[in-house]
Amino acid sequence: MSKELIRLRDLCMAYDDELVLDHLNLYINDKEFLTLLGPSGCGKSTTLRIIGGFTAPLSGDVLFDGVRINDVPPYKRQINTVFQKYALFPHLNVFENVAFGLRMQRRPDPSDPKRKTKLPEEEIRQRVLEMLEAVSLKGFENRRTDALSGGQQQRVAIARALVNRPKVLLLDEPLGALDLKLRKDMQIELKRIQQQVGITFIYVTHDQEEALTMSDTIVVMDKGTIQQIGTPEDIYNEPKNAFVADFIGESNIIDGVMVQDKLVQMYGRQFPCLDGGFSENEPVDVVIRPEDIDIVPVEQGQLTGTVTNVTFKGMQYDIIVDFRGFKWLIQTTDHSPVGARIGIKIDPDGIHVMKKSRYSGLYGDYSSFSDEYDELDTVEPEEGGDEA
Amino acid sequence: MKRRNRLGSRALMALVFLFLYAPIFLLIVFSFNKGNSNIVWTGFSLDWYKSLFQNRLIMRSVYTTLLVSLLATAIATVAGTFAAIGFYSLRRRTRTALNTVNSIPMMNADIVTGVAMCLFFVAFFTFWGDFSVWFNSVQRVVVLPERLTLGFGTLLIAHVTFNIPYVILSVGPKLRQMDKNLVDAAQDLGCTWMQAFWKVILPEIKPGIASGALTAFTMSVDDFIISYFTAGSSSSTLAMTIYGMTKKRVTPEINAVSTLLFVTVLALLVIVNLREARAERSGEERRPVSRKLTQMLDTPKGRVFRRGAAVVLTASFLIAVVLLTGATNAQPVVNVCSWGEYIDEDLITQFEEETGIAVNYQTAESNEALYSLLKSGAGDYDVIVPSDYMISQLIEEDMLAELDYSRIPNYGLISDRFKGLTYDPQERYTVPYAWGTVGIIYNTSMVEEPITSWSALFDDRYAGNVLMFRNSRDAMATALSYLGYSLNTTDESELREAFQLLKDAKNRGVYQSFVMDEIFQKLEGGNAAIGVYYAGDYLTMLENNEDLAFVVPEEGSNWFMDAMCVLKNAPNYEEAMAWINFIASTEANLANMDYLWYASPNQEALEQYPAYYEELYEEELGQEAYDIIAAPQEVLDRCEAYLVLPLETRKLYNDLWTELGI
Repeated sequence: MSKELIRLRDLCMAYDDELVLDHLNLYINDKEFLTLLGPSGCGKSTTLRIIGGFTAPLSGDVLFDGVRINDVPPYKRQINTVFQKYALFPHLNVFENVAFGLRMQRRPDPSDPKRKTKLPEEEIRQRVLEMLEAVSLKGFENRRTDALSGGQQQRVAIARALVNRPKVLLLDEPLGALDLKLRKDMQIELKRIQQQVGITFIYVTHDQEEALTMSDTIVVMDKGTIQQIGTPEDIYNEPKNAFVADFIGESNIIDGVMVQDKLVQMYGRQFPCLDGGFSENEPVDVVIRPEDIDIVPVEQGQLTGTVTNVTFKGMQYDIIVDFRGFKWLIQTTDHSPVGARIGIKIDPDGIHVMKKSRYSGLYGDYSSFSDEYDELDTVEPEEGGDEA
Repeated sequence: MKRRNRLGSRALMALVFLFLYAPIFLLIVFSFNKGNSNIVWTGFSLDWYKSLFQNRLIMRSVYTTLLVSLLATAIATVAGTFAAIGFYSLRRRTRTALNTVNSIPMMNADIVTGVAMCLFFVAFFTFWGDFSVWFNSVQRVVVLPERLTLGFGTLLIAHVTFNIPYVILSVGPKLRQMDKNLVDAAQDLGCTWMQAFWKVILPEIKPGIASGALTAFTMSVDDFIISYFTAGSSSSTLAMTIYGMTKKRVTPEINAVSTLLFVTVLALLVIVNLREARAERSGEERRPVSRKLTQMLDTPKGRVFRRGAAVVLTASFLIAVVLLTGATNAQPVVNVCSWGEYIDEDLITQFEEETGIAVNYQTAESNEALYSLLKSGAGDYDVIVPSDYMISQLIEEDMLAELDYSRIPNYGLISDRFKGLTYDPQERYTVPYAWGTVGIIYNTSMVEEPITSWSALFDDRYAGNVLMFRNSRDAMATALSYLGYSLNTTDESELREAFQLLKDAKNRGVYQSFVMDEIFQKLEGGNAAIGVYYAGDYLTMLENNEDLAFVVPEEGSNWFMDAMCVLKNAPNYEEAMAWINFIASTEANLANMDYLWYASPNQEALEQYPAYYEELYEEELGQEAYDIIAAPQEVLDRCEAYLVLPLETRKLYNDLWTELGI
């Protein structure tokens, strides 16, 4: 499980003098489900394209099994890709799309090892049918690809890549074009497939929920650099900086001062917490997840504020509360009317303290909160190296 | 109210379509006419199609047209496709700029493109001449042809050039519609760049390539103007041949070939449109795309491919140019430029069989057109057949070569009457080809008395029923003859007097219109009573309207002689002598006289023609008809040939003609 398969060393990449990858270092283990997560333009797709061999880095190395593969063209890498919008060949039917890679393959002729031969037709047929069955597309062989639904096209694309038995599968926002329900189903399906075939998946997405659901490891990227690498739990519970905290889930990020280990001060008030290892009175960012806040009567509250907005979300209410001009998001099952004065209480394990970074002060205030913002965030177009 | 509007717009629509298609419909109908008229329907027949396929000149130009169109389409499709891929892989701004540059040739006037190409080729040939002379003098391993001429090669280059933009225009959008990741996907699945091109890009842009090729082919078949300026003397496309044939009149043969051309182009257009319609129906919308090819072409292999492709294309293009332009000199050949329908084409076959010399037979539409062709350097002929006054001018400008009469023994058969005429008094440059007279053709059922004088052309009794020549020299000649002045007068007062006569008659409404070849339709159809034209053509009209009569007016008239000449520096002088001698023979003259109904200058032929006619058609040729073809000496005596006019007189003609305001 922990054998290293791919290593990226000091990768730099720029389009039109704009740095997209800034000395990126990363290793990827065999059989790992690794997700590159970040907003548009963070360099995640470029990283994927470099691994796939479609783009050459300006500098830095790509190692595969310890061998440098910078100059190996894509068609010689043991890597296959599932592209954004699938990139199925429109002039071929489902069967031929899946068989495409196999038809391109040559291997030494058993009778004359010097000669290379094509794979026998029977073997191709068998492998394609097996693969179609594995992605639940049995019986679709002769369909035109444009007659398939989005989810079916998606599965053809996966089958087309996996039938070549690659060591690594690259997936570039493969679920972006699907509707929400299908996306959730496909997340589970992809994870199942990955466990079934037992190879490395490198997955690119800007959807944090997708990343949290499927990944063994998440790599959070922004502006061409890695912000944090870790398991979904690590990333969610212990974000390294304000960017990660904001990008993964909802976060209230408040300026604070670390009074001493396990005691942080916000709004002039001290809160017990579980973090330590900071210098005395070091300014810090404090992350408080909306669901970790309890609403209590004003007199019992550690802080008191005014409710300015309430949105019913089904399982809970999203409440925006003004604490001296800084607006917090609180998720609770209890309804509080707009204008009500409320108190809040935060348990020590609901407080996460981070060192100050260049992202401090940029995130965590919900003054401009609205549902539409959330929606926009999920349909944001991906950067495709379209530098023009 | 609404209803009426709709009716009105429908009627308008019907009118628009009527105007668009009625002429073509008429042309198609009359291509099946039994007779040779475009007015009088005499029954259904496929004769014109039959004679079309037996017409050497037409079939040859069909072959040329198809060959040049197919080759040009093939080359332009390959080049245009690669160019489109190149454009596609460029940055957007560069691409937009290039697309604009690409569309200029399509919007540019053909005439400009044609003239520019002609100038360019001639300039290049001059340069090439100097270069190859030098090159051949410094080494002996490779002998370069020193003399390149306009011909099939240049025609092909021109067609390729104007076709490429259409291919690019049609392939480009297909590339832009293609999913940008397709090429990546193909490479990901084991394709090299070239394999990805064949297996993925090509199938995707195939519809664009196909419609580009079809458009290019249609454009090629359709083109006249650019071909006209770049084909030179040795090649003629169908459109050029048809144009040459209309010099005299639109024969049903031309209707037939035009019909075929129309049907061919229509079929191609239908195919293109059907394809597009089908593509639209089946094609679901694909995402507009940026370009991954940039990155492809920027890989080391992509660059090698790009450079290699450019080198191969350029090299093959250059080789093709030199081969094709040089190849015209490979076998004995003679380039002849004459008038439309001015030879019995069996003679060409016969000559080729007898001598092994290939004949490139071209036509020009008038002496003036021929002259400008020669001056522009585009008319690279050996033998030409200009009329008397033009010959004088060509001799004056030192454009003709002296003939070697020892190689033209048949010159001896030419009647002494037609030797040493004013245009060539010392018999150094010419061998007469055919001659005839100009006279009045009139409809006996529409006039009160037989016409004998030019006065009929200025007579108010026939107001609105007279057809006058639509060129200054011939029109002025009628008035000059009537007034008793020389046709070649340079006296300004005489010319002004003649002009006044014409102008007054015009103002009084005597003339229905000023015409050239339209006279056939008008007189045959009985739409006008009186016209003035050539004797031989009268006999053609007579076949369609028996009421017509012909007279060379008593005051005298113009008689003309067309004679064969050889251009100075003609590339095939020997072959030209052989051709002239062959055409001067009695047999050839008899055949031509029968075909043209213009008189032969060959004494034996003149004498033998009635018997020849009788044997051929098993009926007697009346003396009257014979005298119209070959005017007797007493008629000729009162006629006068045109001489070349001094520059200032020509200018006066121009000014007067402008003042007349036709």
